[in-house]
Amino acid sequence: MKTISDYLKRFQRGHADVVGFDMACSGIKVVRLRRAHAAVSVVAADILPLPSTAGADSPSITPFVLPKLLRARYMAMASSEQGAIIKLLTVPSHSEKSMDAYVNELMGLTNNAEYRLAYEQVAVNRSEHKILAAGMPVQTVESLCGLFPSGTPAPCSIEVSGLASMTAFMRGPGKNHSDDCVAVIDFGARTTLVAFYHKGAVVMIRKFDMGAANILKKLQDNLGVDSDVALGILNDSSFDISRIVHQAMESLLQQLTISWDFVERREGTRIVRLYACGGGTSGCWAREVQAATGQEPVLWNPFDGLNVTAEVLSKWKGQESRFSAAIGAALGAMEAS
Amino acid sequence: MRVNLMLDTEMRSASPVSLTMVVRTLAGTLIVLFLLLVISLFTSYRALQNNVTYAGLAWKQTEPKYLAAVQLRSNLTHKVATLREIQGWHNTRVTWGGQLEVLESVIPPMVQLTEVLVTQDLLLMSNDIPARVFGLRIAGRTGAAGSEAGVSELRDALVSQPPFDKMIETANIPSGSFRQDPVNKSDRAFEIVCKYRPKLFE
Repeated sequence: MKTISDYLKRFQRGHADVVGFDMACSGIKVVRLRRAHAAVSVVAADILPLPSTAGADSPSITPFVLPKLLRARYMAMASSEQGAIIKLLTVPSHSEKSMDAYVNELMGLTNNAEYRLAYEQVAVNRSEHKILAAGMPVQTVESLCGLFPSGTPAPCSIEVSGLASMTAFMRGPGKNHSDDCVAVIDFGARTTLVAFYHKGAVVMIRKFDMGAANILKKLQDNLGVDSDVALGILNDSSFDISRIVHQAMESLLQQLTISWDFVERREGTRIVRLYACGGGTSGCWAREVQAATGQEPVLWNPFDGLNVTAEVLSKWKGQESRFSAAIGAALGAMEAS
Repeated sequence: MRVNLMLDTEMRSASPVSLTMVVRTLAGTLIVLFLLLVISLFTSYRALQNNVTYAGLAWKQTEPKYLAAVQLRSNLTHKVATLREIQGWHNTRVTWGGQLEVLESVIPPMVQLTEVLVTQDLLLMSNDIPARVFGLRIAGRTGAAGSEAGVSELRDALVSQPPFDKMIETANIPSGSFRQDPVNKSDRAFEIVCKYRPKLFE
């Protein structure tokens, strides 16, 4: 039965002013987008420090205050929470069991009550549905909502960061690959998401709890340096650290290779390009990925196709791909409203 | 590719005044206005009811006077009508005393009246006004010499002498009425029939 709120939603205007809020462990990437007619403009972008966590015993969440320029009416949030789950599920079309029941069962969680699950149908044929399902700890979702309890911006969506990046990709370089097969890696500080697209549809998606922070930690341990020095070594390539990076990424590269081969075999095609984005893409990880897949990762700029001010471009030159999840979340919220 | 983990119940409006709040306030205002209207109508109804009660009490006090006034008016109307009728009869009457006095003075010396008969008829005029019409029948005898002149003189006097001239419309000697007197053969008997002008009951 429809409630009064459902009827009122018909009269509400779409979200034309949205701030994308990507909460990552390296910082909070915030991008404010504004839509005028068909054109989307970047009003402001920034990377903000993480809020100081309250004491472990304190249940309260301190509201987050955004700079005035980044305060839009609505907010699309994304989080690169390590506990988040992403799965591409296949369920039979004709079944007495509900879709919710299938998702709950196939997500493989021991306690579904602790997780907020949501799914979206990405493909359907006569015998089966292909469903993209995501889950995040309820506590994380509630914490994110609690950051903006009143006033503007009002949170309107919460996504897993890697998936939000994929939304941005599909509105960027993904549009040029509607007939071939490509792979996209969102390489974050603690998590990595790999997605394979064939003819514009996702055919495989995998999330790994491994990222640039793991490489950095391995460098620190092996070279006995602090994190700043390790970061400098990683960026300027003054030492040959390929062996250490390879060791740190071994598991990820192995899984990537297996997935790559599987997709090529199953889809009967070659993966023609590998795109990369995310905060961990700087450094020597690209060589390892190229060596494993045979494709040089192409770093794509999520600001492409948007009206961006010169100030934003100059401020974040070289770091544009860090905003992919924030931009993807904001674009997704605009389109969904 | 967008999987939103936020529940609908967790979403909120960015506006400080939500549409739901506006609708609820509007609904509340309408309910209050409706209640005020109902109270106003009820108050008006009670006021009217009181007015009816007071008017009923006042009518109970006034009704006997009213009925008496109505009765009085009815009596008055009846009496006025009676008075008019009487006045009508009065206006249409003929003062026969005066008539007979003048009649005596205009009778020639050789004429002797044997009978004077007065008749009356009631009739409606063309404009539906009732009228009284009198008739006067005079019978008499006269000597044979100059009988015709004497009778003619009497008849002429009845239509030309005041006050007969204004009251008598016609004075005729019916054919066959001027004849030999059956009692005294040397005398003549005659009749004159006069018709008075109609007198209206106005």
